[in-house]
Amino acid sequence: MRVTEHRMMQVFTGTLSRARTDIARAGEELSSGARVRRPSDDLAAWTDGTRARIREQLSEAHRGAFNRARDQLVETERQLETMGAQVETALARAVEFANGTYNAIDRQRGAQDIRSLRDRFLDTLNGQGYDGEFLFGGSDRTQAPFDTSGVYVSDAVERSVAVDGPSRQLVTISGGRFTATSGLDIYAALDRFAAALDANDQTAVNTAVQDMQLAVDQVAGVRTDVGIRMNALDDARDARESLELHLAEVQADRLGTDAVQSALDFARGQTALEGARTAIERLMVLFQAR
Amino acid sequence: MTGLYSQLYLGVNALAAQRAGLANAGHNIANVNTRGHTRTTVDLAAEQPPLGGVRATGVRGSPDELLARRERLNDATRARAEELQRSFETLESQVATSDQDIVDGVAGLFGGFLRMVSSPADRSLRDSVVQAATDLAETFARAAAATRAAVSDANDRILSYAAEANALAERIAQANRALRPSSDPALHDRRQRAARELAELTGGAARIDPDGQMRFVLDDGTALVHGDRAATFTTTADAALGGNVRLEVVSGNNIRDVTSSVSTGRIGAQLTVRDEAAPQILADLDQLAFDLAREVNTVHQAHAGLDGTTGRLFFAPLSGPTDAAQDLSVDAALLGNADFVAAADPMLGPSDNTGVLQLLDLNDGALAAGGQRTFLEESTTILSQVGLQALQARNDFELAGMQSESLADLRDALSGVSIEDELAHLSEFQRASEATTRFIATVDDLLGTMIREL
Repeated sequence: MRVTEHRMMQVFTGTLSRARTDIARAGEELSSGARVRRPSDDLAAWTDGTRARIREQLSEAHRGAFNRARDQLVETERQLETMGAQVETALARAVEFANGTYNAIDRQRGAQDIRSLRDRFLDTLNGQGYDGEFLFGGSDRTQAPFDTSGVYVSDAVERSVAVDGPSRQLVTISGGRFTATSGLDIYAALDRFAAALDANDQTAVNTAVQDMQLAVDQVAGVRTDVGIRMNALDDARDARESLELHLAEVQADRLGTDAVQSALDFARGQTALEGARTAIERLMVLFQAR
Repeated sequence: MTGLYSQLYLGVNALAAQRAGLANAGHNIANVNTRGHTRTTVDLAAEQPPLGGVRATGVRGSPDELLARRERLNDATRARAEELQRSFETLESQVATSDQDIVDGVAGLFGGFLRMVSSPADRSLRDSVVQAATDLAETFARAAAATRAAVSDANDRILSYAAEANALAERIAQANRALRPSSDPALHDRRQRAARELAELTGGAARIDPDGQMRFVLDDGTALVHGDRAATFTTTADAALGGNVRLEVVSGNNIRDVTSSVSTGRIGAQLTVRDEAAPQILADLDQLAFDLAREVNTVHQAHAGLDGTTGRLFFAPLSGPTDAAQDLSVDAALLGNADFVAAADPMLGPSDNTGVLQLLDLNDGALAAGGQRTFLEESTTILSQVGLQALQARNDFELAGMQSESLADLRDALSGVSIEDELAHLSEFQRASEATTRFIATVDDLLGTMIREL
């Protein structure tokens, strides 16, 4: 086919231009680390990468919620630990005073101790977290859940967080767990114990031993639940971390540069550029030789 | 038998013919870089006896009308693809930028709800939710503004291209007029160039009638150029097109609305962007914004803020999808006080998070695109549609570019100027001139001898 010099020049300059474009693109990918920055770069990869990025963002928000809820449970556990120690002390004193060797004056002194323990127990029930929330409040954790008489004034609602889709995990404990609705009203039981000691009522003191044992078991039961909830949150958080790692890999795979491939493309572009330049130089020599 | 004077005239005619060849070679070499120039050839005809000799009968171009038609078609396709690529890539860069697009906005809102779940009464988390909603409204407004700007740009380009098309149509008509008495190849080339440029702008087809006149006709049959008459594109603002211009072809008393029939070339591309593609994107954005606001408001109104009050809106009310993306905003009461974010069941205390959990559940529901997709999926789909159109236009442009190259190779082979060929012709005509001059000198000598001796 007949090819004019003009056409040859056009073809070679076109090749030169394309080689420059290829080098620029490969260089940009290498330096930025991003192969796909907008949908038209690679539609399927952009869609996959974007979905992974958004899921990762939402997963991080999930983990934030888990961490916050777990912190609250950790503080709840600390309060429960204190509570456990308090009712264990009360049980020990009840067993002690169930012994018929103590006289009325000893028991009255004991009553003062138990009342003091009762008041500390109330403080623990009205304990607050670092964010100011009352740890054993129901749906209103902005107010003390137990009044000065030890009566629970909130509700039985326990808050949950979203784990995955519609799945929920309870993350708070309502103060109702320490009242008669869950077995024994522990505050009232301590109060009765103190009254029994004041009245030197042996039968009532013996009953207090059973009550305190129940209290110990009740608090232990709540601690077990808290432990289960913390473990569930830990599992959910670990699953999220693992998911986020995977999603980060997906993003890198879909959107990121393959450094080796980009370097190869760059080298190929350079070769094409040099070839096009050489061809043009040779062509110019041929034209001048005429 | 011819006399010496006849031989002299033979020599003179031959010299004129060889010089015409020299001039033609020079003309081709001079125009080697002229865009659209076709190689010309001098036609030589042998004179019959008793005079004999040679005569230059004319200069002939080497156009290939079939090839020219294919090039014009391809030019229209390539120009359309180029315009679409430019428009969609510009729009894509404005609406689909990472970290600032509607996908991130929607994800940010639901991320805010997620964080609020564990401490619904926490003021900083409530403020974050309000801020995320404000950011979301801004991304929608930006996307809507960018799409409207694409419509406005397309309209401006249509105005500009219509004026260009009018000038080109007039140029073709003038060339037709000039070519009636003449067959100048340069005029032919000029007319072809104008036809190619006009086809790039409007699509359409140019045809050479048997009388040598070029007729240019749009795809719907509307004649832009007929003989020495050129029709005119007029542009009129039309309320039915949202204030954008209506495109009409005026020829004498005939007016024809071609707004919906010009579909190729640059004008066709900009009409597609202005009247179809961009409005669809805007409609999708508006519908998404409206659906999101409606669903969030429904849940929000059923739940209570920290003060226990229900019935409050999260987003300011929207009467319908029209302009929803542009008008989406956080309700003024909520902007002023994040305590009003309704996170709780109205029958429970302020630390309850039932409301925010239900707001979160909206993320998983197929509540967008007529119940087909979630809000995040629909956001992604809208952006990927913009990218898909940019990608398709780019691919079409590359394909048309390759076809252009192939047609250019063909045209060059058929009618391009090769300097080497012309130098060879130059040498031929130079030698022939020298020989003819020698012949004339010989005849002249003979005549001189006769005159002296007789």
